[in-house]
Amino acid sequence: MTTCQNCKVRPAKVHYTEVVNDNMVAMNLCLECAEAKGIEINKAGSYGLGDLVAGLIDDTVDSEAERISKVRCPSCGYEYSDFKKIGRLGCPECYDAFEAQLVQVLRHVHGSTQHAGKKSTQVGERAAIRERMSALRGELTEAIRAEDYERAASIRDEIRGLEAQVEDDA
Amino acid sequence: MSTFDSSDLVGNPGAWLDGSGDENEIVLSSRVRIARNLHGHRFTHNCDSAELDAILRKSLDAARRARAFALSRYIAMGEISTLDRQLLAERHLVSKDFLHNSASRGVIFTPDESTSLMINEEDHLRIQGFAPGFDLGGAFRRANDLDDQLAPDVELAYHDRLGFLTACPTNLGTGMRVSVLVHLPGLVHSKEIHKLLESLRKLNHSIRGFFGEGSEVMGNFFQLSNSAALGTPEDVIVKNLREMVVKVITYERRSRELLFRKAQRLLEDKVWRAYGLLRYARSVNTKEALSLISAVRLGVGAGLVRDVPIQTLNELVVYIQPAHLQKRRGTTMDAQERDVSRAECIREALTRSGRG
Repeated sequence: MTTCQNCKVRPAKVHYTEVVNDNMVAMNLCLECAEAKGIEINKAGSYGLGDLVAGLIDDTVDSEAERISKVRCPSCGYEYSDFKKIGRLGCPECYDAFEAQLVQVLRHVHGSTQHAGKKSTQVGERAAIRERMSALRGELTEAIRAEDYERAASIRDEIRGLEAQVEDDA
Repeated sequence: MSTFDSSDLVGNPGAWLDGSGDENEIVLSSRVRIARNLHGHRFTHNCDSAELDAILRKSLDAARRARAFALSRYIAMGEISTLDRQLLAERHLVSKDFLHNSASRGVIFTPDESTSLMINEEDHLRIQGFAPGFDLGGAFRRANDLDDQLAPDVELAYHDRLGFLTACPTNLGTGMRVSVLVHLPGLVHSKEIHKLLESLRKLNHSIRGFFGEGSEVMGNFFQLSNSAALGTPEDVIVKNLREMVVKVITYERRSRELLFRKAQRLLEDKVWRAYGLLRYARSVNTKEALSLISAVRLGVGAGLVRDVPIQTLNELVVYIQPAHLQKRRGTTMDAQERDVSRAECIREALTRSGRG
């Protein structure tokens, strides 16, 4: 096992490469020395992507940063500080909740803030139809119970129509 | 349904690493990963078990309707042994994350392992398409086809401006990561690899060691991939990486030629020593094995070693890993026993190919 090149005592657990004056320098440090150097380490012993991503927005002024970190996603209750900690968002709605804060991150990671490519127009079409069908089946039961057979027949026809659509696609 | 036993997989390396394909002495395989999430659910890491189960149910329902999976079956991570999980990870069918988190998580893949879907990984859906050699188009087609087949049956988290929404903002937009597994001994020996690393980074691509933790690189195997997923359409992401890989192949070829011109005897000696060790060693650890395989691979590419097909060496890269060795023996082994078994596995493979 390699020994930490800083303290030369403990076994090296953190391995990474630094670029110094265009040269690659392999670094092998123990957990303690790595921490002293300010390198955040996740449990697996390597950097969490979260630290890299979340670290990008650390330049903000303190009081402002404080305010920003308290912004909360109305859908899942996630705070922006949670994202900074683990580098992942809580739910899809977080993207709207933290929109202003994320712009910098997106620019840095992707060089863009606007999606291009495959769109999601067809997405979920069949899932939506199946949902509608299940709602209609409930209405059908209801209509039969109310002995409203005319309505029941029209609901049945609608369900058949939807069934045919789902089958055609599959 | 019978319990899954990965023993069926042990004897073949998976279609995507069969050693065929274009530029196969430098590019081992091509891979495309697409991340998707279901609308109306929190991201996996933020879910309780009931929500994970709901996501799993919806995702599986869609997967079972997908044409690509007509002959596939779902493998629940919680229902198979640790060793089987590890074997799937060694074949890149599941991520290392699945080794520790298994409840409500699983994978479904085609019999040839060229298309797979992980459910409840970092993102709800992780689609993967693989192809042997340098074939990004083939890998993309597989992943994209599956995405098309799943889309009508699940409502996905999608944003008009930001595209497909992912747990980590690095995957946002297309949700796509395109990568190749490359063998670059020439660039490593000539010390050119660092320059390449820097220039790739500037061009928004990333390169990292394929085996080994952190920056430790084993056997000169690297993974090259795009780092931006937002703002560039899928076909352009594929095209950009393809052009990058073509350049890397050219540089690697040039480095190898130069090396052989400048230090022919030294290199020949290195190649044949490695060959001798692989052929006769009685105990070898993963790191040494990969480094020896790397040297022999270089020798095969240069036409020095003629009785070992590239395919055998590509297969070995998979077979010498711990879970594969243990499944092959049908028993668990400690590190020392594995080193012995690894040496044996390599000797057998080389003897077989030498005869064939």
